[in-house]
Amino acid sequence: MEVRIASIEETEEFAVQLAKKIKPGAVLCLTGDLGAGKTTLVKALLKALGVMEAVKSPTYTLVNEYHDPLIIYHFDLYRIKNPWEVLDIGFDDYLRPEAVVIIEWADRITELIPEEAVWIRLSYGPTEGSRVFEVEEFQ
Amino acid sequence: MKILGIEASTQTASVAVVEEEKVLGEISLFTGLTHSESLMGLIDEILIKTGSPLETIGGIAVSVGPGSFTGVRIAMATAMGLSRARGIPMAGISTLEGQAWISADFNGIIVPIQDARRNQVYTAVFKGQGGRVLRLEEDQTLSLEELKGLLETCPGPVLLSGPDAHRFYEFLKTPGTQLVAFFNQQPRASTLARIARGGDFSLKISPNYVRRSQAERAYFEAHGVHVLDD
Repeated sequence: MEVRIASIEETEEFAVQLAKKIKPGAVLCLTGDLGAGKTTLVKALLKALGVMEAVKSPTYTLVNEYHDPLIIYHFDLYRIKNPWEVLDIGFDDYLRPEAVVIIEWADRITELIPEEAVWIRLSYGPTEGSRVFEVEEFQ
Repeated sequence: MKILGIEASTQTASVAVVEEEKVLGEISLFTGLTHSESLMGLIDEILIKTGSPLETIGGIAVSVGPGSFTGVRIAMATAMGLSRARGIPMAGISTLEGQAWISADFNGIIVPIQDARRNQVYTAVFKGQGGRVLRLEEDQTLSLEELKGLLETCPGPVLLSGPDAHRFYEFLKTPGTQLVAFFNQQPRASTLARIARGGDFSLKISPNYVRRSQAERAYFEAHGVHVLDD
């Protein structure tokens, strides 16, 4: 499913709709170039899910955790060179049925992503500030 | 000699104090993976309740894997911290060996299983005989298919044990296999301590995450992916 986004407001609307489908156990994988809007989408999504805390990019921490109102693990694997590195930080332990897992740059570790994950590919759109989100269908 | 046992490689957090042949006390929690929050509290509790201040502990038996990377590290870091502070030597015990010993009264092949995700399991092969357990195969990672093939070649009765055996039992079972009783599924720190009694203690131990097979590691290396060793 392709979604055309013309502005940040539309990203936020998209995030509100997406949030309705996210339940504990969900794994969301975001891919796309630097600046394509992955972190912007995640911030909007976390806000739509009810997270009140400030959301920062996990580029340096690799993963940020949120516990209220849901358990959410937000990964940014930009700095990961190979899947072993991520196993080393106990990646498997984050994939819990009670948690929502959101992974930016998930394509760094495709072989470790569970089958039921939903992938969203973000790219630049035809006009300034626009984006295109390609969303794999939710089960 | 009193031995403190620590096991946190799986969802279970377990601590115990064992003196010679007796388990003075054991606490096991199956409430989830927040071992970083619960483990020190459990250790404190078991030492107090069994009247075993740290000065009376002669050795620490700790699980070195396989299992959750995080759980193994939390247990080992805790053991190493206590060891370093008091000069208490440690024994690193395989989680799978601990699981096999829980069923030591079984006469036959014992195969403990732990989910390693992605259709793989951590497993090993032991033999139970007359209340003792002998190791036949090293701890290793196998695909479910490979394990099934292995089980088909095992003679005599086979016991599938460990916390995840029941999840794979339907797929793995052969005419000779049995499933461990549910009350023997979870790992126990007391078993680690008892295993440690027979062996060496040291001030240095290493984890054994039991990663992928050599062939897979070679594949990754050949494709320019540096595989870290522990």
